[in-house]
Amino acid sequence: MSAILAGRRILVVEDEMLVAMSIEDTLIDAGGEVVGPAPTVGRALGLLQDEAKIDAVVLDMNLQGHSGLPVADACDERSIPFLILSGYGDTALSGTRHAAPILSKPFASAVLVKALTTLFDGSRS
Amino acid sequence: MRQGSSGVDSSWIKKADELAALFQFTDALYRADSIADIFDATFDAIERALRCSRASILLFDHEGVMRFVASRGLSEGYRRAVDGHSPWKPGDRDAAPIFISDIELADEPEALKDTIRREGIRALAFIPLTANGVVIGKFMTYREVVHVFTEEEAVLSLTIARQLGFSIERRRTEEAHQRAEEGLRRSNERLRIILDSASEYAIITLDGAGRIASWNSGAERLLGYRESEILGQPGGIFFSPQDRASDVPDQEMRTAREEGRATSERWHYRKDESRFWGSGVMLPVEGSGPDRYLKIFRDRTEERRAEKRQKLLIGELNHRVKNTLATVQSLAEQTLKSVETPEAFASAFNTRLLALAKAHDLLTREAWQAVYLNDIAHAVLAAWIEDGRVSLLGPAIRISPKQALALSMAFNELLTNAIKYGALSNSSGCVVLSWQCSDACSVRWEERGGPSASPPHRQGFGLRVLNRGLASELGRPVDLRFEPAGVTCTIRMDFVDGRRAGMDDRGE
Repeated sequence: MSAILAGRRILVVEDEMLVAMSIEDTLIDAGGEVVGPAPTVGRALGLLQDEAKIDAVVLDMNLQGHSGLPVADACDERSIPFLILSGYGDTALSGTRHAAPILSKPFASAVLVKALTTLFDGSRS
Repeated sequence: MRQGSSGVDSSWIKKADELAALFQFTDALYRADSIADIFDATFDAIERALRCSRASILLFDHEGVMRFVASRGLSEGYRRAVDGHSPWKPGDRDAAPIFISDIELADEPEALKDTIRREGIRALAFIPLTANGVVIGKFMTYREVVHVFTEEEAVLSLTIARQLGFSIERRRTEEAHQRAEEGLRRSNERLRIILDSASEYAIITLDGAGRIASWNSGAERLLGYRESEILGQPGGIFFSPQDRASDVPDQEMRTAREEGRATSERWHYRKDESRFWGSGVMLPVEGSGPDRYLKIFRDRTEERRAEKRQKLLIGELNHRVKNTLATVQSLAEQTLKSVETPEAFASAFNTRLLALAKAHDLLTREAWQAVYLNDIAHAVLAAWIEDGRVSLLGPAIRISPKQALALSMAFNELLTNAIKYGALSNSSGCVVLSWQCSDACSVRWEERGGPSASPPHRQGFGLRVLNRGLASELGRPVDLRFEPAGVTCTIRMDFVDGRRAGMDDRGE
């Protein structure tokens, strides 16, 4: 795969070990750099605070039974674009003020890369 | 009794006596409490006005047979013998009295004459009793001697008959009315019992102004107010202040009035201020009287909770299934990268899927709450533990479902490696899996007696799971070493005590 995400540092917040590993592979294959993966809200918030440069966040909305919403809020505060992974489908963000793209699990690697490039295109314009 | 008094103008006195008798008769009928009083008054009147001490009253029964209902001066045998005998049929109109001055001269069957004779009767009169012009019975007078009936006697008899017929009819109407009222009272009583026995349901009525007009025992049980303290209170007394402020009670009545029915699903507040989720209907009470509303409701708190829980569980299940599919998808992707042949893929993928499935089985059995580390190890390593090649050493501790899944993957990778290259690749090596926990848990896989281990040339899936996946999953570094004595792997993870290590307990 081309280095379509070259130079991008992407925080992966995902508590399913194997899924996180797959996402990692996908992002690295596309030329990106992975921050994390963080399996909990606490770890994700820590990385968001500590890391100097994070270009985007891939966020699973259900982290070991806890909502990923605080991470979404932190992304907004830092103006970092993010996309949502969810087993709940399109309703993952209903009732929140967020309007991020949602990828319903399971998803193909190509779809994730496509969603991220769309995200970067959107944030650039 | 001032009967047959003597005097100069006996005809006038007789007339006065008759009038007095009729007056008394009318008065007695008016005061009569029972049908027996009416019959007694009639016999008194017959005796005084007609100067006849033997008489009887007969009425058609419900089968249309003329039956004795009262008599004076008649034997039981006579009554039985002539019972049912009647010159008229039920429904006959314009019936005229029949006077028999001398039974010996009458055209009657000999047997009947004989019965009458034996009772010492010579003359008889049959006076029809009518109601609305129709014969309902008769009264009879009996005399021991031949008697020529006068026009005056006929008029008197008919006067008495008319009064008696009217009284009987009135009495019957009253009794029917009383029976109807009694029936109504009983059916009300039955209704009340039914309402009270429906103790799961609050059944109340509201008047047109929305005030509580009745309150069954179910309502008392459900809301805690006694009937005596709640009657006259506004019907919204057990609604929330917000519902009252937004006129919900009035709206409910309006909807019931306009649409014939209003449903209500809302919190209801008991006298002790606790609440329950009430579900019910309000209906207008049909009838000509002032507006009234019937309201029936019950406590559906439990059902509502169960419904919400079920909805949540279905959502959770959907989430789990999709997550599991994503995991399997990743498992396939990762396995595919680390093998060279389809056969190797099938074998590696199968053992990994199986390890995952066993961990799932275990977690499902424990309702996705915390499980014992010991059980997770058994799920993956059972065959080797039975053979004595793998031994477990550690306290009974519970770990979270997440940790359990991660460890089962790790054990599977360590086992696969040990079988291929490590302590389980020959017949004498063994593995000790031990763990100890204080603030954190330290799980140690230690191989002995196998060929000396050396780091693999390339980082396959197993190593990645152990080195990177597990480390980030458990939040602590994994120490994996390939040493001459064998592989050792130390996995550290948070130790969350027993029950709190469960899955999310967001409940509802």
